[in-house]
Amino acid sequence: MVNADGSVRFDAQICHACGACAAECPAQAISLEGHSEEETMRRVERLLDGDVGATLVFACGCTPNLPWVPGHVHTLTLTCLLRASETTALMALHNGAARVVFAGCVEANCRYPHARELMDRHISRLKDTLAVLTMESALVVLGESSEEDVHLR
Amino acid sequence: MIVMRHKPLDEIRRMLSGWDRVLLVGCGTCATVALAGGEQEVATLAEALRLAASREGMTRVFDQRVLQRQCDPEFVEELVAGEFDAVLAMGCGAGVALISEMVDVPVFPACDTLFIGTSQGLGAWQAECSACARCVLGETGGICPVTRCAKGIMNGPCGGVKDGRCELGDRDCAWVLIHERLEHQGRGAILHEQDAPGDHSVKSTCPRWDVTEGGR
Repeated sequence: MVNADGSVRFDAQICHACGACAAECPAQAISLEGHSEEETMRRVERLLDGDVGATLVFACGCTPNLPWVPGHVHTLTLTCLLRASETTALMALHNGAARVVFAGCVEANCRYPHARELMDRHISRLKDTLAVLTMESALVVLGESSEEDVHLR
Repeated sequence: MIVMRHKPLDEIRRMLSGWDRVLLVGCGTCATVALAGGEQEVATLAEALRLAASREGMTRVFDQRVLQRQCDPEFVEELVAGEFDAVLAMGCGAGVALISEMVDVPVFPACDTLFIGTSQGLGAWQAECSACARCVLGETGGICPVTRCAKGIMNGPCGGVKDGRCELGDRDCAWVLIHERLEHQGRGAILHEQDAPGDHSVKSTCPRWDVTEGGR
């Protein structure tokens, strides 16, 4: 797990393999077998597979009521959205996705300490980068759909 | 460690305009810990530059590499830049300088080097040392007036201090901190012994250091 001060502590008793430690390690010295950033990027490539103009949704695996996203959508569910790095999101846009959506990162559902706070920093940096490239609309961050919305569907 | 920050993406893009095959080179030491030029930052910047180029309908190559240390020839030797027409060095100024010396193509800096500092939690650092070649920390309670005083004065505080803050408004007054620290240690009196101005000539006469030969 990642502590509030950014340090990393491993405790086998409480590890859920969320990947936050690997996502946060500056030297990328931590890896989770089968869940590396390269693996996530390969999954993104397979999902998009030359499909230009689609929406790629990175979905939080902890959130039960994911919001509905309109349009032509590919969804990649991750144990923690921290696994969808800035690099992965930019690569998806470079590979033809019209926009990327981070869906369901909600404090109330989060099982991982500080993941939401760390996620905010990731999103903020990604927004800054896309603003420079005049691609602000290519990034959408959605919370959780309300019970009512789920019922209507 | 040496602390640096990323230049704005716009500035990096302007520097690299006209160069179509660029090698981004990160540094596995200070730049990694400073979250400015490690594996992650190199990969993210390369991807942002690729995306920017494809949005402009241009075919440009941005390849990436992270050296263990950019300030040591032993590691920079590994760099093969032959197929690239420019290098973007994502380390401190020393890294940019050494890579420039060792490759034939132009090298551009992706970071602004700020200071030698200490970690203050995730993504935050305090400037502590300016490599002035004349360390006075023993007399100043370990707080560097050259680095942390806006004027770098050796006998402070000056008249610009108010409630312990520097008149610039962005920092605590280093000299108030020094007085407080020394008094806490029961050695406030040593401040009254200081009267000589700082010798700023040392740094300008020591551009190079060799353990065997001494400074030149």
